[in-house]
Amino acid sequence: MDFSLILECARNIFSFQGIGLIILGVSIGVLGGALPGISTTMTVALLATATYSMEPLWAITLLCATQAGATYGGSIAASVLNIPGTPASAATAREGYPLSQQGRANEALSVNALSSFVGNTIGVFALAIVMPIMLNLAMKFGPWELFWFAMFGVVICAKLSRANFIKGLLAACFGLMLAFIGLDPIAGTQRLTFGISYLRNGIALVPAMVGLYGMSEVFTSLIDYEAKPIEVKKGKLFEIGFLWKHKWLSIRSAIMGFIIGVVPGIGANIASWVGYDHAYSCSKEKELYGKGSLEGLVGSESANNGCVPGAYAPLLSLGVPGDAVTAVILGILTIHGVQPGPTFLSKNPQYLYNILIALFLAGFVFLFIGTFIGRGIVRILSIPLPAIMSVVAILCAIGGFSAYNRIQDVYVMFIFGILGMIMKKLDFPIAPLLLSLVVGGELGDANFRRALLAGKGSFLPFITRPISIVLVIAILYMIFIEFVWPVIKRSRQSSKE
Amino acid sequence: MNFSKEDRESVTSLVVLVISIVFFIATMQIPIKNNENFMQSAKIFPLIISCIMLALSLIYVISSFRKSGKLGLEKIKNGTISFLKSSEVRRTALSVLLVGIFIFLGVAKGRFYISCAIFMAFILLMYVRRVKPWISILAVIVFITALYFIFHKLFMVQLI
Repeated sequence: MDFSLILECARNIFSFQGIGLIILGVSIGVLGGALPGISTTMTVALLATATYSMEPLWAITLLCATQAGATYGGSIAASVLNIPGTPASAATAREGYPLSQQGRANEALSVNALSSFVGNTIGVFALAIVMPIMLNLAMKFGPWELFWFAMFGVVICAKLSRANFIKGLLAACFGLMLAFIGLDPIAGTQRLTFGISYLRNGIALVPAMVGLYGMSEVFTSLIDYEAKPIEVKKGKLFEIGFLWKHKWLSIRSAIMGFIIGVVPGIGANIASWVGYDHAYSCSKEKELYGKGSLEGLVGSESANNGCVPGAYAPLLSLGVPGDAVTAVILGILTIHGVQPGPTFLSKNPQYLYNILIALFLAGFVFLFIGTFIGRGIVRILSIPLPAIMSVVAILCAIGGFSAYNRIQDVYVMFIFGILGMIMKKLDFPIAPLLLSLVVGGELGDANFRRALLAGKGSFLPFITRPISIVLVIAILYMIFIEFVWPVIKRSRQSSKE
Repeated sequence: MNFSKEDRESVTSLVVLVISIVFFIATMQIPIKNNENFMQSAKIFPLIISCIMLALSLIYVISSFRKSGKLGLEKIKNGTISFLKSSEVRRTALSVLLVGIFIFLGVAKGRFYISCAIFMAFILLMYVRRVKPWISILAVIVFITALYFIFHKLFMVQLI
């Protein structure tokens, strides 16, 4: 590590602009995460507009802070309203809401804030420790490994995105096909443009992401507009002693969350359930679970916030996003002309240091917000959903347009909004589509072609190189467990009968 | 007669199969340049993925038809008609239409902030009835003014 560069980055971030951006990012993130229907991914995608005129380093500082804030913010609505502000807070809602109903809302909010802070801080330190190892590993990655790593991320995302595996894989394939649209990255051949000149440049990532996550939610919310307004209850304050008592649970959950974050394609949604499950299995008060367990909150919140820094490890070392949010961040960085990959950090280590410092400080900011301004945020949550969604629709239009200043991108955003809404209605997961769309072109297709060129048209290196073998086995294992194992089980059962 | 959940899944699987076939045909038409061989052409990876997509669609069709049982043309026709007449579709169409008018007639025709104001006011007055109209209008004016200064003046987003 270059300590003089770390000090320089710290000096930059501790400036008026740096601290201001972190406070702004966390505040927007907490609010976006807390508002039901606005996910972390959507908050980050909508904020993209604000970053175009910034230096890439400042842009990533703002986006990191927003991501950390939104991941924490999701727990507020989950605990007080029983509506997970983000999918990553679903486990939190299970324990937080019963606590709020018992008049212990502030206790739940306080434990959420403290656990999230611990999770985030441990995640940051783990990222600092893991990155040199990841970078060494990344240097051993050729196009074969990069291709398989991208595909591994897509397959695992399809497997874990709460729908059935086939639907997840179909969504991923659809995303890859959309990523192929335009001129191919090696020879410039026109592909799948259907004679539409706009498609020659491919589908613009930011409008597609804003449409999939933002506009689709607008459509869905306007359909279900009869949802009743929710009353907000009050409770008593502050719980630092409790967290101290459960510090090891918090630390273990945070480390688990971090590890989940490092594996591409999984993300905080899964991490929170893993943390929650770990808390349950270690608990001596299992009977409290589902009725308001503070331990459950510690597990889920430490894990989902520990996951946030973890997702930056594959993004920065390999250019493969760790989850949907970092996929959006990768898209925004690409617009800024920044393309993370195996050699990126050795030339630009300041990006890593900036992210580490920004995430670390973001933890303090959301701890402050959660502890002292949480009640105020809870009141904002009573704004009717259609009112929030009308604002989101307008921000989506701006977000779609501002990436490239083309009105056609607003149409793309609208079309992807409809696509996202239909997918949600039919239980097709959106995350694999988004991840495939982001990694399909440069990481997937381009590396596949480079690998074939380097191997003179041979497929053998795809399955003979050591890291490739591990990744191929992991992919085949997932497919075996989902498709082949149930068939074997059924045939065994029928032969017994 | 309405579709059951299983029937709906079967119809969806057929639509997915059609999309997969369209992609497969489209990838078959990707040209191979004169100096390229097939294995190194721009066609190879899309073709592999479209074949996988086609195979997955077939598995999806088979598995969903196994669950739903026989789904005749008559059932599909009647189910589709009753689905199109359902309130869910009407609401969906209304929400898409509202946003579509805002995007295609407002934003695209170059009256961004005015159309934002009209769109937001319409949504607030139509969907949020528990708030008094004058409060809604005031909220719209404040929000659109803030939007103008933040995005147009500060971030230079040239949507007018």
